[in-house]
Amino acid sequence: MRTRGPGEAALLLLDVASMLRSESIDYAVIGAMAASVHGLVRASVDADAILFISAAELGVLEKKFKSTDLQTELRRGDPDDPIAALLELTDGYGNRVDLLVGLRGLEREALSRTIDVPFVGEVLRVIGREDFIAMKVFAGGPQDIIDAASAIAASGGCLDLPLLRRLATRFGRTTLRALDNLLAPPPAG
Amino acid sequence: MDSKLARQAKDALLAANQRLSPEQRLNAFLAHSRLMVALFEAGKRLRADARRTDL
Repeated sequence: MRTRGPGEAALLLLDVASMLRSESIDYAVIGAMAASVHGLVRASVDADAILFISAAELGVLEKKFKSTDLQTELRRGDPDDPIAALLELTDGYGNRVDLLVGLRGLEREALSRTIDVPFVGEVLRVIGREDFIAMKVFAGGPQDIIDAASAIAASGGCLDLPLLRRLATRFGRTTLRALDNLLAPPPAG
Repeated sequence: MDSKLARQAKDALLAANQRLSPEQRLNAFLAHSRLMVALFEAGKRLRADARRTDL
């Protein structure tokens, strides 16, 4: 284990990513860590990653993590929940990693758009910028919208807009409308 | 509310972030998270001490 104290969810994610690699499970880092890569650096008590496996396979994965020092809690979403299941992994310092599966609207091809980011001697796969923005707009909370707006601003106009709009459309019309509002230039004055 | 000062501060923060590589950003995330948790824990200890003093 790499963690030595609280506030080190990013290091816990490295251990989790090693386990995922050994199980040949693809992942993409999302949440505050991805926000720090694509927009503004911010703090968080947890680290998040999305997996492209079924909720049942996540249950099998939980059993493997149970054999480590980590506490595990598997939660399943209701049928209409945009997230099928979530596996919460916590170490003895309270650092937490959330593994999400079955995010409605997110396509598997997102894996081909991840970026590899070196971190503490390892490499993490971070969700691509357009996928990140579309997901955050879909999530729609105040911090999510700030993260999406920061990623748009930090892109310096280098966004793949057709891709971004296509990805947002997959999350629904409300998401596309919210994205268009974010992309609209601020009123003059 | 639109504040020119707030917008300038945010632009400066974004510019500072853009000078960092993705690896540096993840390292900054780790450092920032450690500090925030330390600050939060210090506040909890302070509040607990204050409650004991009140007794």
